[in-house]
Amino acid sequence: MTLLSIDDLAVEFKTEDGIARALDGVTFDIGKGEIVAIVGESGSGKSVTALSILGLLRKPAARVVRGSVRFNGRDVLTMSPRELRAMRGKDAAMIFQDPMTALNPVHRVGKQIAEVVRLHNKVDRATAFARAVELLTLVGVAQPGTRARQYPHEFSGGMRQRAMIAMAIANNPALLIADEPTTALDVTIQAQVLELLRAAQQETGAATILITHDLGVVAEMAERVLVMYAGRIVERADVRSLFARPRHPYTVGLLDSIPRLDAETQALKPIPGSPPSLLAPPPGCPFAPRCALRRDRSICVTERPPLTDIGDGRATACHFQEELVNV
Amino acid sequence: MTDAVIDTAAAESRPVLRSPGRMAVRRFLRHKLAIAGLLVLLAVIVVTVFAPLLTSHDPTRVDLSQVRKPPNAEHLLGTDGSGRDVFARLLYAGRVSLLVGVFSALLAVGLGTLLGAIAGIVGGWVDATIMRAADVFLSFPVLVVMIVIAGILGPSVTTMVIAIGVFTWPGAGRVVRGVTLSLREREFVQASRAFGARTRWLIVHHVLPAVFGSVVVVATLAVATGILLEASLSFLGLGVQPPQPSWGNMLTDAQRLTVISQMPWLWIPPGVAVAITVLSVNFVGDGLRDALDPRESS
Repeated sequence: MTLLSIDDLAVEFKTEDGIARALDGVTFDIGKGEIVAIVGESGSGKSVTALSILGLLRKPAARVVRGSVRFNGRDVLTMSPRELRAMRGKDAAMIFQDPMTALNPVHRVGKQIAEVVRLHNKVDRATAFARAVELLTLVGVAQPGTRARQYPHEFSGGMRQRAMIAMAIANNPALLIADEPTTALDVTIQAQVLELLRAAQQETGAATILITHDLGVVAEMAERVLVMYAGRIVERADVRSLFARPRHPYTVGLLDSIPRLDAETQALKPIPGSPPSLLAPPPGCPFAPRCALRRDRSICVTERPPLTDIGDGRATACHFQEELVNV
Repeated sequence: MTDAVIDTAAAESRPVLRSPGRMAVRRFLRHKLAIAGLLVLLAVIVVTVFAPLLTSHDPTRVDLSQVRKPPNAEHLLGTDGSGRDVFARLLYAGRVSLLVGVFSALLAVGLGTLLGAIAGIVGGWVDATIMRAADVFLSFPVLVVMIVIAGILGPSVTTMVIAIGVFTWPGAGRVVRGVTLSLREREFVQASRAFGARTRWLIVHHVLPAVFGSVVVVATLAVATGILLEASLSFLGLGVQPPQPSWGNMLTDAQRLTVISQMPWLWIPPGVAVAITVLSVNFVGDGLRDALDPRESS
């Protein structure tokens, strides 16, 4: 069953220097209960995709040029503000990147969790607060009764992220969007939070979109992966195939640039160059200037490769993807 | 969910509750001038509230046999041109002055907070309209406008409170809008939106607590402004009307040179009362600013 269906979504941002095309024809589906990772470097459009799903793009700076975002069969982009508010936090909830700033420093943590409950349920403060304590227990915060009465500055980073997760699952959403949930955390805490996210996902049965640039997180959590580059999806695959046989030169580059303990080579292989400007995207493949596979072939700079199905539920946007089959 | 993910470090330490409110109180108590101001202010409030216990004289009773008597055992601060007891008038006048100060400040700050928060969080043309309105109100000479209002509606305490409140809201409005604008971009406000909060919710749960400190400071200073404006208007005969006493209209007598030079008991007490009260309010305001907004303190 499809829960979320994004079709040909294009989003522009007005900036000082002109119009930036943040998303350009993004298309993907997410089934109920599925865990999908969106991978890409900064500015590739991961977070804009997430914000579009919740209808949180800031107008008038952001403009949806074309496409649709259907959640539970209804187009988010045409929903009224009231319908959007009813959806946010109830049907689809977001876990923010930095738990240090995503909690209001002047309110007790329990109260903030209770507020999310009260936004969508007609319950009194006491009931909501009791539910908040229950949720803190659920996300593994010790002494939840005392902790709920504390302020965010009395929480460690990992505990704050637990509190954020508690807020996100407070209303049993059908979709969880985790935007770089571990980026702001210590490595030792990252594993705990991922474990918790997985547990939360199993508990609620929510489909989960995991936005990250950390392929380690992807390998650990996701079933399917979408690789984004310069506002487009360049490769789509299940997680095993992606790691075993990447079919886009950008994915190959990403995998090569992961530090490995078991490999013999000492130096990392970074991808040369930097992503193209979104203000004036080149007509061809956006990755062409940095591509190791291109070898000066002109089609790469003249024609944009569409995202093409290549069987086994995989797709890639590369003119010469078959050259990667036996690499 | 599993026990394996429980934060073990947290389970051992016994967390202490420490609220921002308690920390602010501690900072305020360290501010000596503010404490002094607060004590003086409390004293002023107590003597005005308990005025009937401190004097047996009726502040409005005219006694033409006792006109402009200097201070004596019967009349501690003498009597005025109609033979009314100045000490009694001074105490009862404090009630009016403080009431006008407090209520005009509440009105100004209430209006300012509401409009400033709406302007800041909604933005766009709403913001532009409200802030241009604020500019318009700020560009009126308040005293002159109030003289006109008093002239049209007739002088009364209520008119004065409303007029002062309506013409001094932009101070609070600008402060609140500024805080709100910086708040709007904070991630917890974005998160709140992402959890389905509407504008009113954002204002109540995020903006109001955040602006509370600045608003309290603006409010105390507005009380001082209110007291001064009341005194000025009453002095000009457009505020509190005799026989009801107010510090301002008690000073009206001091318009004559003979009074100033020969009957200091008529104008020194109300003058000192206004000065001391306004000064204490301002000290308290400074102390509150340092306590509630540590970044602003010098």
